[in-house]
Amino acid sequence: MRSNTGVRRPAVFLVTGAILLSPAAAGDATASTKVRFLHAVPGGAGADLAAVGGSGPKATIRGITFGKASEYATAPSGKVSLTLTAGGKKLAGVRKSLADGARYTFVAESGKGGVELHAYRAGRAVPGQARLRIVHAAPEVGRVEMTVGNRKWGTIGFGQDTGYKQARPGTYDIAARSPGKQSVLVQAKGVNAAAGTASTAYTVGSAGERISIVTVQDSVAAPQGSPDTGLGGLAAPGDGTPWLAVLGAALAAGLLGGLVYTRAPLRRGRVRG
Amino acid sequence: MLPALVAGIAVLLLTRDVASPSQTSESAVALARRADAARHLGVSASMSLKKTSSLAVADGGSRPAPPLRISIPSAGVNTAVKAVGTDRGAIRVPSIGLAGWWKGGPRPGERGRAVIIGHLDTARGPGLFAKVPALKPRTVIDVTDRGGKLHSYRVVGRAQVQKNRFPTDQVYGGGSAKVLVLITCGGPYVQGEGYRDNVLVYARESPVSSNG
Repeated sequence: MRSNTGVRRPAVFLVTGAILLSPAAAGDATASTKVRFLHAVPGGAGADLAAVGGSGPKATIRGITFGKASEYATAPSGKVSLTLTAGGKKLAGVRKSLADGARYTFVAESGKGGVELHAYRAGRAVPGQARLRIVHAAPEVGRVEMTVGNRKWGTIGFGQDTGYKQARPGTYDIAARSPGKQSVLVQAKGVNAAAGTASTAYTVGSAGERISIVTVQDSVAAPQGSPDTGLGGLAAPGDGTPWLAVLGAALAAGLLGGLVYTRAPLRRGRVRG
Repeated sequence: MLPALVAGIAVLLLTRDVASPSQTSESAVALARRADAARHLGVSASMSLKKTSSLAVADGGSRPAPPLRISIPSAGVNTAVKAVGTDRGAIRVPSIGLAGWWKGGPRPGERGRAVIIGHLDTARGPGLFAKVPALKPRTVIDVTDRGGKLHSYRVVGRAQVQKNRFPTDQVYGGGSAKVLVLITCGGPYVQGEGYRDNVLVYARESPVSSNG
């Protein structure tokens, strides 16, 4: 086993080097500020969200359609201008102070004066617990009583949220009813509230669009860093040698050897002559 | 130039024993996405404003018990699993010979990513997870919980990542699929510093239970 590992290691090292340098693998190691975009404007076309200013690179999230949420994208922190556009036309803008390392979901909603951008900061996840918040982003539905399983989660109006509440980890049906009524306006079945996560369920739709509940994970309780699960017993003697240096030395030796090899006949020729 | 050519051939020969492209060409990001069935929590149920009269209540359901043992016959693993938390923020590494389940996250058998770690080696030789970095796709991993229930997984892929760029978001968390993530060490070993990398093996729950 030791010898096998010794042979494999340089090969794996060389091959995985390319993987490690890929942007996808590198993007999530730091606790950078992140933003996500959820489109909750009924009838609205696919839209883009850009975040500029503050400190850090500009973030652009493109082509999100109604009822969809993007992945988190690394965004600048500090005073940041967020602009929502569709087909190159500005629909809404907001200036927001984004905390370093925090995560936000920007939701495009139908407001009285047109499209509005609202920011929902991700709450902290707790190890072993599931936390769930519900946001009302369906403009024509009126106040709704939200339930998670058989538990009332809160009664909220358009633009309001329940705040995070703790749930036993598991799978739930989330439902919206008119307050005091038994009939269900909309229901999402089998929503996973996993241990160690904080999530938000957004009620979106109405105004010509079907009402739906879109659930996204906001944050995860995870250990810091990476586990040290090796003590070196499988490392071949000399393992840890900088392989690029070894390769460079081999090539240099090769060049030197080649030079000696090509000049040797000349010297021999002179002696003979 | 002959020695240089020989050196080049030697390097090529050393690299011939690499894992298949399907194992190495994916980053942890891609693997995690493939292991998860859906990008979000899996549910975006919708219906019209027409009212319905009944409500099916699913109150969290019954949780599987915490894991008791892990078995990977093809890797010679059959050992107890200890629940581990954190020590000054970092995950506690279990004793040699034990596997450690991150108790702050999903349990094996639950939707989301259950994480189990184990030693690649001891100071003198192979450790519990010595053969985990070489697990092939579709390899069976069985986890038995404290209630006696078997949760069987099949490997879908592996990734090797530098420890100083550990992809936390792609390792821990929820999701709609039942995923098991095994973590051990990998890459070059540097005296006084340890292994440079971690190896992540992703597996999805399989309805097929197997001993092999």
